[in-house]
Amino acid sequence: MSTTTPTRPPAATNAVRQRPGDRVFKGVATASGLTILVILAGVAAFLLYQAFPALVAPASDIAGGEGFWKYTAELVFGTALSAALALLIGAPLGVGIALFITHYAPRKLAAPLGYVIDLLAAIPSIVYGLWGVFVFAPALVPVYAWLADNLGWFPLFAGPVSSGRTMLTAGLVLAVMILPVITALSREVFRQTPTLQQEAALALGATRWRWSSTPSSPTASPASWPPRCSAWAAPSARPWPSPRCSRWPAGSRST
Amino acid sequence: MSKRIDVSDLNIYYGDFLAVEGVSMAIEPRSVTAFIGPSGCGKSTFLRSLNRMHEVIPGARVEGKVVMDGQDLYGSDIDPVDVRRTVGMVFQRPNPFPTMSIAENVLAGARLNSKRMRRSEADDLVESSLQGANLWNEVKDRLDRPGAGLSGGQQQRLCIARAIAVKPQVLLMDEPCSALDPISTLAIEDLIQQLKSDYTIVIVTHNMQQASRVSDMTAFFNIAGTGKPGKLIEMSDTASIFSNPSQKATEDYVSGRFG
Repeated sequence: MSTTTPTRPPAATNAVRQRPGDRVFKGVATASGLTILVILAGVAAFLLYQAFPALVAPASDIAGGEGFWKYTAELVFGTALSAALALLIGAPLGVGIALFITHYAPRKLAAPLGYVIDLLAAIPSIVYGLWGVFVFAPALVPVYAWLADNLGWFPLFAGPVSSGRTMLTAGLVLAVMILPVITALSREVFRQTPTLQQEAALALGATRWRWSSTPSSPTASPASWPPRCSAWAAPSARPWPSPRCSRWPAGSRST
Repeated sequence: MSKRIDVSDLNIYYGDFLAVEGVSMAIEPRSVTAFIGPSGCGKSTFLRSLNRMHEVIPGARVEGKVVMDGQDLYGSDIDPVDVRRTVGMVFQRPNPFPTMSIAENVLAGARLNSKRMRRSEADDLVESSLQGANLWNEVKDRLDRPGAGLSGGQQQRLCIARAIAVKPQVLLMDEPCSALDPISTLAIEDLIQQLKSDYTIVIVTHNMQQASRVSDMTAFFNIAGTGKPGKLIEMSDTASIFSNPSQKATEDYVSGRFG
C-alpha cells in the first residue's frame, strides 16, 4: 500500500491492486459493524442524558428517600437474581431440549419441536410479563402455599404467597423466555460437533448419553458460553414488570 | 490381549440397501489383516461392523454372525458399548479431541468409561500408551499442550495411543495413513508391526504397497457395479494375493489393470 521510501516510486508497483468490488464490500461491512456501535453509544448517551436529573437529585426526592443508588441497587439485585434463577432453570432445560432434538428425537419429531421452541421466541416479552402477572402468578399460589408450608426454611420458598408474584415466579417466566435462545444456540453447537469426534468417542466405548453429551462438550463447552451469556443478557435486559417482585428479599416484606 | 474373529454370512444394510453381501472370513489373532478394494466396495462398512460402529447410522443394520472367541458380537445379550471397548478403532482422519491436551486425549477413553484413577495411575497409562504408539519421546515434555497442535502424523499416533489406552483386544484401522505424508506413514507402519504382537489388527487401505508391507493376510473386496452390494472376492495370505491370486478380478486389481 504505502511506501516508506522518500522518493515515492509509483504506488502501483508495490501495492496489491484493489478490486473495486472488494473495496465496496469491505466498506459496506465495516459501515454495518460501526453502525451498531454508534447505535449503542447513542442509546447509552440518551439514557445517561435523560437520567441525569435522577442521578444528581437529593436523596429525599427519590422514592424510598434513601437516594438513587440505594433505590436502584435493590432493583438491580432483583433483576440479577431473577435472571440467575431463570438461567438456573432454563439452561439445563434448554440444553436438554437441544440434545434431544439433535441426538435422540426421531427426525419427524425433531423438526416440529424445533419450530415450536423457535415460536416461543416470537412472543413479545411484554406478553410474557402480563401472562406472568395475571395468569401464571395466581396459578402458582397453591404451589407456593405448599412450598411455604413444607420448605419454608428455604428463603426462596418463604412467604408471603398471597399474590404469587414472587422472585421464583419471575425466574420461571424468564426461564420460559430464554428457553428458545438457549435451545436454538445449543442446538447449533451440538449439530456442529464434528462427526469425526463423535465417532472417536463412540469407538472408545462411550455410552449413548456420554456420547451425546461428552464428546460434544469438549468442543461445545467454550462454544456454548456465548449462548449462555446472551441468554443471561436476555432476561437481564427485561426488568420484571412489577418492581415489588424485583425487590427481593424486600419483596417478601408485605407491602 | 488379542482375539480371533470369525465372520459368517454377514450381510450389511443401510436401510433397505444391501451394501455388503455374504462375507465370511476368519481374522487371526496377533496378525495384521488388510482389506483392499476399490472405493465403495464396502470394506470400510465391513470394518465398522466388526465393532458395531455401523449400526450408529440411522437405519443401518447387520445380518449374520461376527464371533469373537466364541461370543457372537451381535448376540442379544451383548452391549455394543462393551464391544467397542474391546475392539478399538482408528479413523482415516486424525481426530484427537480438539479441546483436550495430549494427556487428556490419551485418558479420554478411560474417563468416558467413568473410570476413577489415581494421579500416578493416570500418568502411567499416559506414558505406556504413548510409548506403545511411539509418540512418547516426541511429546513427553508437552503433555499438557493441546493434541490438535501436533502434526498430522503425530495426531494419528496420538489417536492410536488413545485407542490402545482402553486396552482393546482388536484394533481396527480405517485407512489410517491416507491423510499422512510418506514419513508419517512409515512411522505408522512400523508401529503396526510392533502392535501386532499384542493385538489383532485389521487395516483398510487404498495403498496396495502398504497392504503388502504391513499385512499377513489380505482380503480383496469388489463391487459389481453402482447400486450392487460389495462382496469379498478372495482372502489369502498377503504374498499369494499379490503374486498368485486365484481370482481374475484380484489379479486385475493388484496389477493395476482394474476398471
